[in-house]
Amino acid sequence: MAHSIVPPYLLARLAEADAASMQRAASAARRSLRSEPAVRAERRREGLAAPLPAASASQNAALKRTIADAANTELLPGLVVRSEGAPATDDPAVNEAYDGLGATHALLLTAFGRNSVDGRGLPLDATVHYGDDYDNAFWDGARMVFGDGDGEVFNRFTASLSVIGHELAHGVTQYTAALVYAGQSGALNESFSDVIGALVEQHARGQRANEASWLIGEGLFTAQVEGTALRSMVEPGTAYDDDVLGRDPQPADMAGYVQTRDDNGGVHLNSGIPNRAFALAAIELGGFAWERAGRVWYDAISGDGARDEGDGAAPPRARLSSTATFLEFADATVASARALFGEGSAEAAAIAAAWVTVGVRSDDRPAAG
Amino acid sequence: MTDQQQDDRDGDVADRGPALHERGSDAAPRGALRITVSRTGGVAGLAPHWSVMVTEEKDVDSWLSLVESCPWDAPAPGIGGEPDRFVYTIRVLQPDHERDARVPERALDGPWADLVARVKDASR
Ligand SMILES: [Zn+2]
Repeated sequence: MAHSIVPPYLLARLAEADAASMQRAASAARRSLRSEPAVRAERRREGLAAPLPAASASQNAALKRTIADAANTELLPGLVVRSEGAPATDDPAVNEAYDGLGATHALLLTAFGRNSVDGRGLPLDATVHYGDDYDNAFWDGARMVFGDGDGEVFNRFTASLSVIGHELAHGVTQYTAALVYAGQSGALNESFSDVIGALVEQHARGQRANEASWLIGEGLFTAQVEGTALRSMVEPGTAYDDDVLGRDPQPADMAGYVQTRDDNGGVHLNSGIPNRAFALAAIELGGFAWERAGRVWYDAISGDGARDEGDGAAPPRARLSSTATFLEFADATVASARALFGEGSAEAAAIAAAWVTVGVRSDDRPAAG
Repeated sequence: MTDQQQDDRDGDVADRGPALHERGSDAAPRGALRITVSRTGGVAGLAPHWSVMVTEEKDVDSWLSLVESCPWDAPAPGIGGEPDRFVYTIRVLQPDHERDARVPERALDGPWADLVARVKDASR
């Protein structure tokens, strides 16, 4: 295939997308967010703001958030306490959930052209104050659920924007690659949620890759815990070291891969490996992580590129398997990077190198794709 | 923080897990009962555990009646869990008998929920 200065995905998108209407929808979505700092327009790299998938351009990309309160029971959904457009309440958990859903919706729409979790404008529902001292947050297949934390180890789980993004991203994965939540595919499912969680936070703060903390769940631990966050994407295994909780057990490369029956095969442990590959590639590429590494990861998970058969921009690629291994996913990201940014692009090179650093691909492996 | 938040991860991570712990010196003495509950999963990925050792005969009987009411023979959950939900591993050790079960958070109701709550309370 001929090399070109203009990445093939850009040519394809420009040919088919109504970029202008997409941009209007995106800025409308941004304006509707009460507390999200705008990404400074002048910092956006020219040419990378437009190439969004056309699929959602014609759809109504309006946000529809509903926050319910479980009143410290485990009964879902709970009572609705704030609907779309309603003013802030005096409950910080409600407002954090509302704003966090908005920030996640904004990232998906503006960075990836994805209209909500399902790509079809799914209303975003969340429940706060779930359970009694409940130390967790989860996506239950249809809504996000947040506990208040026990107050000794954990604060309320809405306090971290990256955790809100993480949970909604489980919904995105459910509607796209449907990665089975066990073993390596489960760790990839976890890692993609961390990637989106980090990107939501960086996008809301207007942070470049080299300015970001790359922490997941910063601020969730109480002051009694010796630790800054649940996980570090850039330095897995360094997020906490506490006399009671122990040390952050995440491995940073395949040499440390954990075999265990717990946690569906260590999905929250081994996710450190693909997490680090993403952070390393994003930092190497510079700029806003959602524009380059983020687009590639999203493409590999969503299979958007694989659905572009027949547009002539790139050869069709296989959809990611729901039981993908780290290596299969690594190959998928390299293939996506080549299709989106070009065969010999800096993106493809940085991503391939990052997978070598974490031990998933080997240096002498013949180029796949 | 209290002891019930004690994490069991300070050793070799690859070797952790209830199936590999709690044997030997931890085994219950004759006529006694030891119950451990460990919880994995959750967005935080922490693995706290709780345990109780019961030696008084009337206490053993009381705990055993709760233990026996749990559906130990229910089919194990299939491969692939639900994102960020907890999974409980419950083990009961007696001198001549030992059993364990993995119970996803969503299935933790009835006697399972009572048993886990009681172990948590007792280990405070
Ligand atoms: Zn998760």
